[in-house]
Amino acid sequence: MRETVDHVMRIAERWKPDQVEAYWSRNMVTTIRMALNDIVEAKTMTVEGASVRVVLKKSIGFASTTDLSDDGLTKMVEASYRAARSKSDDPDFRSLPEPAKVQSLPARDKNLVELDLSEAVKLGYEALEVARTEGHGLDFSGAINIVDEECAIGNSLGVDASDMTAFVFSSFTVEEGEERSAIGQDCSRTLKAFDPAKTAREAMESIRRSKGGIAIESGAYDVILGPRACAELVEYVLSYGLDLSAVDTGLSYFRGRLGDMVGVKGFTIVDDGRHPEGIASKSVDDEGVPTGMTPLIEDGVLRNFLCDSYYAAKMSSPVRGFRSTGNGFRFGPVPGRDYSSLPHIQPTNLVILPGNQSLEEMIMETRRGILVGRIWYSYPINPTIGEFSTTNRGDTYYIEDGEVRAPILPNTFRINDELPRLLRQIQGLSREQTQSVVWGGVSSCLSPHIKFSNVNITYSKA
Amino acid sequence: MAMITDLNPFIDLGMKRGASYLDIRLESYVSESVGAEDGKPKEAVRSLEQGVGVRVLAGGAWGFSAARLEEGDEGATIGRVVDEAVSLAKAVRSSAKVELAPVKIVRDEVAYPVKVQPLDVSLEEKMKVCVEASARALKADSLVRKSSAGMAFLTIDKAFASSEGANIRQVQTISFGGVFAQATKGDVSEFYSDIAGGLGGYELILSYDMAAHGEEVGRKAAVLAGAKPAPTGKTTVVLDPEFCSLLSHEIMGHPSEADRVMGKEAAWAGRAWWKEKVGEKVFSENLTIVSDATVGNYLGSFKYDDEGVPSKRVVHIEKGILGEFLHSRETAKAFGVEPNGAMRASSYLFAPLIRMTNTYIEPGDWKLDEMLEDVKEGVYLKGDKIPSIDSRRYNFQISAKEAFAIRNGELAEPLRSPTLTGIAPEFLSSIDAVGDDLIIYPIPNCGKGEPMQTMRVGNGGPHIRGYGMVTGPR
Repeated sequence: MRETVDHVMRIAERWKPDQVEAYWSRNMVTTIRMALNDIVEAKTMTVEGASVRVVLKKSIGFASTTDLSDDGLTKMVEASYRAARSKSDDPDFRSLPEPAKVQSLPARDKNLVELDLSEAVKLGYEALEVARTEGHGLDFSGAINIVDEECAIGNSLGVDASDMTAFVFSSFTVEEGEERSAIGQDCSRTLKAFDPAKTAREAMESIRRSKGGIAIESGAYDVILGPRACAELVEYVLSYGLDLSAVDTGLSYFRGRLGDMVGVKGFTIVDDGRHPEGIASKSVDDEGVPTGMTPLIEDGVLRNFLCDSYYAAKMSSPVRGFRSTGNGFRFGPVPGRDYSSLPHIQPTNLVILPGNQSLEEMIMETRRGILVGRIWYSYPINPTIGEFSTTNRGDTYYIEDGEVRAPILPNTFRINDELPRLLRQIQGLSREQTQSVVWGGVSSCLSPHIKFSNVNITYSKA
Repeated sequence: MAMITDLNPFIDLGMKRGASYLDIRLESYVSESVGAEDGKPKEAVRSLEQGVGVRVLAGGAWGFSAARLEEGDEGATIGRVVDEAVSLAKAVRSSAKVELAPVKIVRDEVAYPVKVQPLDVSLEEKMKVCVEASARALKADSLVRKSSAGMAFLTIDKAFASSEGANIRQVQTISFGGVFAQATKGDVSEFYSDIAGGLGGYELILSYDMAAHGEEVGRKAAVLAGAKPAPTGKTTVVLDPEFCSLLSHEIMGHPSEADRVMGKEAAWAGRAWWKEKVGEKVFSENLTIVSDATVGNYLGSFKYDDEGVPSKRVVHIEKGILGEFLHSRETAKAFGVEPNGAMRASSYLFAPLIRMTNTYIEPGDWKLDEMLEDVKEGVYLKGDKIPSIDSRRYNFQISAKEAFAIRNGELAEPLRSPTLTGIAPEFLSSIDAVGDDLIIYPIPNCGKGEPMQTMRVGNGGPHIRGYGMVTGPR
């Protein structure tokens, strides 16, 4: 993995740039996809290539290639040089990152990395076996994804880093027509801890509880979001609010709010790039900056934004300095690192610290509310104010006078509210934490159940 | 694309290993993008990607493998990828055996016209245009705080060969330009953006006139920041062609994908609420909705899909009645219909999926003035911002980029942050006027599949008028 980076650095020297950064990644993704109670597709994709940032004074050129031959890499460096030379300086650019001590993470799980393709398919059958045995009349679908990623980074200031990580995650959906829907998910950094049969069983148990669903009236409700629903809101609605580049573009609803109370006391979210169970844990970002623990909102107070080296320099002022939080990542078309893009600010494992209640206690204290396990298509429809809209996809229940009264039919209501408002209306967090990934997401989220008061339910089938 | 031209030895290899069907896609992607921010240069990026994707049917199950290609080593890589795809397909013991609808075997070469090759235009010139466009957006109004402008070019060279004898090469160049501006007034931050592009070369950027659009985008962002919040309530709405592009995409295009209808995308992308309603009236008789890859030079225009099937016009809704879905060869066989050329992969890395092509509302004969004339009170929604749709594409909420009050047949004051919320069959049954001004817009990032693929599609419509729920900021 080092050779390509060293090779690019040697080629680049010929062009005498002021600074240069070489990057290489190889990312193997194996996906076993299931639908209609069967495996419908087994596939493996290997994404490998190199890229280079050539810096001339303060002008950056970037180029990437899949052709790792001497000729291919030479053309790439030349293209990057020409790109840098084609324009005047970017006054917001300061420098590529300086070297820093990188602490490695535990080695990749050998069993996961060396898993034979046919063995990967067998993992799918472990889940299907449960579905076929316990799920008569139900539709079971989903996927298992195994990701094995490697990267190497070097720059002319002395950064010389590499990283290898592997993880597996699954998501299974069980449905019966339009009346019932449930999900089971699992994320792991080791094959031993990954149990598709257990996850399938979790989805089956959930759908058994969903018989006799009702629809609810529109209005204001107390809403307990489960960890997977929280992960959707964190990935699609909260994370850009905490992104320094979104502060720069004016899209973040937290612009100008550093140091302010933006949530209730007791609400804390951190980006933990080294979480032992987090599947997005990495020792180093894609600029060679070590990852770490970044408190973002601490006991309700906005403490920091996620940033890379570019925006840390650009957004620093005499009043407030920023340092890269080790969140400059290059994520591409398949899960994991990707050589072909410039670094952008991306979270790793976003961790919401647990509270001190049990889910049962949260339900008992709810007079009129909803417990939501899975929401869907949760997008910030008006991003500058954090207004989002989402629908209930499954695992959803109506609560009255401290008790779960009935399951709620999937796709029968819409939550339309503003996240900054809801963060100030958190009434409780549960003790347990569950890790989730969302569709197309790049990070993981470890979250407890969170209870919000007075949430706006705008559409209802009732 | 300096790559192997005879793929037959690799097809033979896969068939000998036990495949009953195999296709190979050799693809190269050359891309370039340039961007400026606040009137200053920012990014200049060049990328080359080439690789192979092999899809195999063995024992009635699909296997797929993909990897990059390097000159001089293509043979070994394609052989390995074929081997992996066959191994994966053979490891699957599917109870429902995949069968493919027969198609006419095609051998063809297609090169879409490009008047000005983007790579023949210097980076300096492109950057100058972006710098000027973002500078004019920034200077358009004192409320504008931030602006950016960018352009991107992608040349895709695809070779397709199958064990049935198909051999197709298609070369397309895509060019885009876009401008963004954000404006602040007091606590209110609003933004406006504009994008244009399609199949073709730098001539699309020249005809777009980015600098002039920069100024317009800046001005609109400032108007939005100073606009009063949109009201909340049920009212008459007039939707412009750009808003209709997202409506046609989310509410009409996605549920027309036969894999969704069958439940094969249930886990993530979802299902289709109108699964059992073919032949029934689902929308207003004023609405006819089609997907057509054979028209124009839009992002969903092509001659053959990634199964080698010729593209065609597919009528989803004819005068309000649900008709055809978009099909792969596999779903066409299951439905007992002809394949209609809708299978596309976003690159060699992915197996193809059923995707929209150019999906749009057919034009009617109304003029915008005539539509407004009848409205005593209502809202004119322009441009699409961000959608949220349920997993069956039944209920939706879509925000608009800009809006104006309609009063006594005239456009009145601007409104900010409006959304349209509705139930698809209810809202689309209320459409009582369809304009004659069809526009098809580029949507470069349609997500579907596992892992998610983002696909380039065209979507649009004319102005339409209906009755729905508009919501303003709380």
